[in-house]
Amino acid sequence: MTLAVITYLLALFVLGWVILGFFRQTLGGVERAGLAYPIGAGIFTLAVFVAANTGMPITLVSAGVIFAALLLPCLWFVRQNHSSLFITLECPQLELEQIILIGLVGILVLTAFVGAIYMPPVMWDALSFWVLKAKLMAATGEIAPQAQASWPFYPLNLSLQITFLFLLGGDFLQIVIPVYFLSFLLLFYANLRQWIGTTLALACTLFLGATPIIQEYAKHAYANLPFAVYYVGSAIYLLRFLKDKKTSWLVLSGILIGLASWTRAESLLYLVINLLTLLLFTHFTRTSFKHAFAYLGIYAIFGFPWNLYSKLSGYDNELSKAALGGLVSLVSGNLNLSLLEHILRYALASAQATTTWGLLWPGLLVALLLSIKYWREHAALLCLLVLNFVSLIYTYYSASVTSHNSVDWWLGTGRTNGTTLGTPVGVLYGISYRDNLSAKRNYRSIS
Amino acid sequence: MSRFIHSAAVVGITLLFLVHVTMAVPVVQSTWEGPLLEPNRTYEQKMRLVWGWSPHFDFMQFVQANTPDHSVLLFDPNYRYATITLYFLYPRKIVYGNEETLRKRPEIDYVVISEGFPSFSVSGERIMFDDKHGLYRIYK
Repeated sequence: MTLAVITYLLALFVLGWVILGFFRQTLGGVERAGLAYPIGAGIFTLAVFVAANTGMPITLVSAGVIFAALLLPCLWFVRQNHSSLFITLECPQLELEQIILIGLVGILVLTAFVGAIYMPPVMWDALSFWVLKAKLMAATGEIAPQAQASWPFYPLNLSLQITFLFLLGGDFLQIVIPVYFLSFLLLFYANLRQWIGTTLALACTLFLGATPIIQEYAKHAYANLPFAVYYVGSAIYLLRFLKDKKTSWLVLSGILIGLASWTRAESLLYLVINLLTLLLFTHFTRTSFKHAFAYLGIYAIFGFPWNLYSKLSGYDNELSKAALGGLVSLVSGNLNLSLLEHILRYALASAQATTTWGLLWPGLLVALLLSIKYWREHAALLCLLVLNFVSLIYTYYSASVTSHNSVDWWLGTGRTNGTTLGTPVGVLYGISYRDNLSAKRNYRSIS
Repeated sequence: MSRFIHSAAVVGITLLFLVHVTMAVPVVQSTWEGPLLEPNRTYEQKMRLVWGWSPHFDFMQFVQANTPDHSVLLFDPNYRYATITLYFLYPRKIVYGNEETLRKRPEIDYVVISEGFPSFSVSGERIMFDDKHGLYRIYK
């Protein structure tokens, strides 16, 4: 059983690794390893979903066929383009403090795996939809019964990954979550290292991984962490595109935001954030519109199957309806200032809950203060941060004005989304001041 | 002066980092406690670790044990654990409704007794889990 689960996870990793062969020229080994599982799993489950809607049952045999149908053409194409599937592993010389930091990050990852393996799914959302949908689809071999669970408009990326764990015997149902956690840390570290060096990047990765709420999310079958991996990845590669204008970063960012839309139902708002940043920082030139359309196109490829299915099945995306309702209310001039104040007060109060966030927000504040002198260099990142914060507040606002549930009910349900979305971008911003300091020193020494 | 500010900033950031990382210790500790101290806990014991405050999990185990796999169960439409009930009871079918639902749906095999429900009379065998929760097996 254990071997079957490991083989399943490895297969999805290999699929992602091969697909990322298309980006061989630009991706480093560690970030390719960080992206491989999320990309492989997301594309595989999307293919299973499409196949299941054309009448193919969800079984291990059909999964094998779909896996081969995805892997073989990619292998062929990657080989045709003379891209190597393998990377040369060079063992770097590590300093003592780097070894200690790697050890501590390793303990966090191991803890997440132990927690996810030891405990069955126990949390409310896991039992009421994420794992329940998987159980229903595994039992029937069809997509349709997932509608019996609550929130049927939530996409099935995570649930389909768990479906195959049910089909493999039903053990270790939460194991995909720590795999996402590991991917998250690898992706984060690999990108930071390029900007700030190994030691500081490892320290920041430890800082991120040690955040209590992220530790908690790394072992329970929620889609918050997988969604964060996709969204934060899309934000990072968007920033890299804005920095060096390599089209492959834009494509990667588009794929990741597309897969985010296949993971949670809130992705449209985050697509808007990325698009706004893209448009703002390419100054509305003709080129930027071309890029924006390409970005939208890639998003649509991944978002289309689920959105079409939801439409045809009559599942209303309550979150999109709320977002639109909130917008209509604002455009009509009905700004409820006391509600807004209530939400902001709540945000401020919950940011101080150290058992949930640790010192994440004070850390971000310090980082912002330190880097304020260099805001021009990090304007795109700052823009993403501000838009993320605004969208979080707007989500609560619109949900409260359009729903019969009170604002306190909404604040109580979704308080943690901010962590997984805003935090990594925030920490990324925070540490970037170092980049500027060293750049400035280099400039001085040259002149 | 600027050197002093720089040193203070470095000390401050280092302290902030250390305190933040230390805050993960309780989460790590609580995660390892179970596997190290009681590695052979059963599924039920693990579920009770989280759901022990509520009778719901044990009640669902009771319903599972006392109803066949493909039976149809009538639940209180306001049952507070409605959204997580199917996870435990699948492949049984769950219907939420009242007296009229029971009358109109002859396929219903059981009525689930929970906190004042059903408030109407049911002709069936009463099997109790505790003083508030149980089942009526409908006479057919």
